[in-house]
Amino acid sequence: MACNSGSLVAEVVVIANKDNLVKLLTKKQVIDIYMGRTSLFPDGQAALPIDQETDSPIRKLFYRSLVNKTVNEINAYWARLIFSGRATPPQTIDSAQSIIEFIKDNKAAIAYIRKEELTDDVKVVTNVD
Amino acid sequence: MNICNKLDPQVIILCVAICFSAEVAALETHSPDFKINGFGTVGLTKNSDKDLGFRNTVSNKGVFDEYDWGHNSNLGIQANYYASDKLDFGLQLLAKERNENSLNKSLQWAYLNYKISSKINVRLGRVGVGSFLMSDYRHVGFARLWTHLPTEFYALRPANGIDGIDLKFKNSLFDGLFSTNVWFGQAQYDFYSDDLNEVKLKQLLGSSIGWENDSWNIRFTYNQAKSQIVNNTIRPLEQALQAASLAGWPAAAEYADLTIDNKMIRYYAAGMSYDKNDWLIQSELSIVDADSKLTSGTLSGYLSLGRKLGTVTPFIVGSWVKSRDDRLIMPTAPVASYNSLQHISQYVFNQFYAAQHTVSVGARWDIQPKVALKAQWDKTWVDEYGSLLLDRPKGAIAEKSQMDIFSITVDFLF
Repeated sequence: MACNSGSLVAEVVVIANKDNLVKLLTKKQVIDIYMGRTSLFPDGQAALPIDQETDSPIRKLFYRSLVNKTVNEINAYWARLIFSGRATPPQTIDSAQSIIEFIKDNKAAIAYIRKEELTDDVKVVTNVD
Repeated sequence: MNICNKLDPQVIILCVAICFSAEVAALETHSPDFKINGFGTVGLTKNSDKDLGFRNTVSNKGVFDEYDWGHNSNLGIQANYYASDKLDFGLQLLAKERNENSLNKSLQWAYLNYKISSKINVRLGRVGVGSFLMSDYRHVGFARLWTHLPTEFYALRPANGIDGIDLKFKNSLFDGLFSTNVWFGQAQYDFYSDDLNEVKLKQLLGSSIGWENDSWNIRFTYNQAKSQIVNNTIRPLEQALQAASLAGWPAAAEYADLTIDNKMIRYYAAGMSYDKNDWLIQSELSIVDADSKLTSGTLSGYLSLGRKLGTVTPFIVGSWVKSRDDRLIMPTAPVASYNSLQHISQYVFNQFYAAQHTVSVGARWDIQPKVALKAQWDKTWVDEYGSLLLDRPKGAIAEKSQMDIFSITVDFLF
């Protein structure tokens, strides 16, 4: 298996509860959930998106890969929606461990973590590249 | 600092109290049910002109040839409570420089939001409405590229929301989201000129239809309302002209119906924004149709072009506004005894004409994830008598004017 030893970019994966009926989410479906355009999974179940910490590199990487926007731009986007009283941003949880715990306990939750931090407690629904 | 004198102390205390209680609440429970968010701007503005005051909206006194810290500074706090999946409540307070501060004026939003379905929701109370692209977040400096909104487009409509009801339908369409809103209620704002006039917009009915995806945002809106304006000059003038028309000046009759009260005003607007590959383009156009002899409405628009260069985004904006009809001219008096009535009439007519345009250049620097620093220079050309948007203590000025406005802001979120 060839290995790109020069690459330092960790792969980001979107994870969900193992009992969640959703098997796969397209990049667009993840975008729609994380940008507040929908609060549902494609099958109509409620979706609860979780963000990593504001200043974390993984959050920066996630939004860069997902919608090609910086954290500032995402903050400005949410500021428009929050302060016009229209939508609410994803909840923030500090660490990958706490995130995984939360996903285990909440069927509706989805989150993004580094591939290395993946455990058997959750399943991957999207590979963000 | 003059800003401290102008902000209502009650509001400051309230803001501090909310922040403190939020800290306590966050420590006690990790509950997502109750959220506090805030925004603010510290802004410095200077105008080169002594006679015409620059202002963000017609509700405020203008900035003249001085350094002003209050005009473009504010602090907003919003509390949201999520009672269930379907129901949430919002409250927003905004502290800023106002001619008269009160809790009512500081209360931006106070609403309940109910999700009827995944595609339809309704909001009731004091809510922001999307009359124009940036209306309902016009005070959030961090959310926009420029230090202030293009005044030619936004200054004459200071109201950013309504007391009423707003219904929204949304559905995915192509690779984006289609949405349409309908709202009904009333709005009010102050029009500062010599004395403060309050304007009420009653039976306000509006709708928007739009589509957005990651790069594009397009919206068309229509609003109509009945204006209720308290102005002490117009009625006596109308009576004088009516009397004159019956006593030697029949032509005056044509000008005796000047009222801007209880007239239907219609606003038509189209707006777009494009954000892709480091280019930012935004533009809006609007036609206002007012059924009054004093003002038949305005045409206005702007085009903004920005380019992201790392954390700095330089931009250039062109904006303009013009009254749809030419300035109203009072015919010459038939006899010398009516000369002063003619002058007074013409003086009043001159106050209602708008004709100006601005070119702005500036840059935004994103220094922290929630802090932005901006600097902007506006050059404004005001046509003869066209200063309706500006603060003019000596009344509308006949000569064409040029103004340079410099503004710097630090915009933040918390």
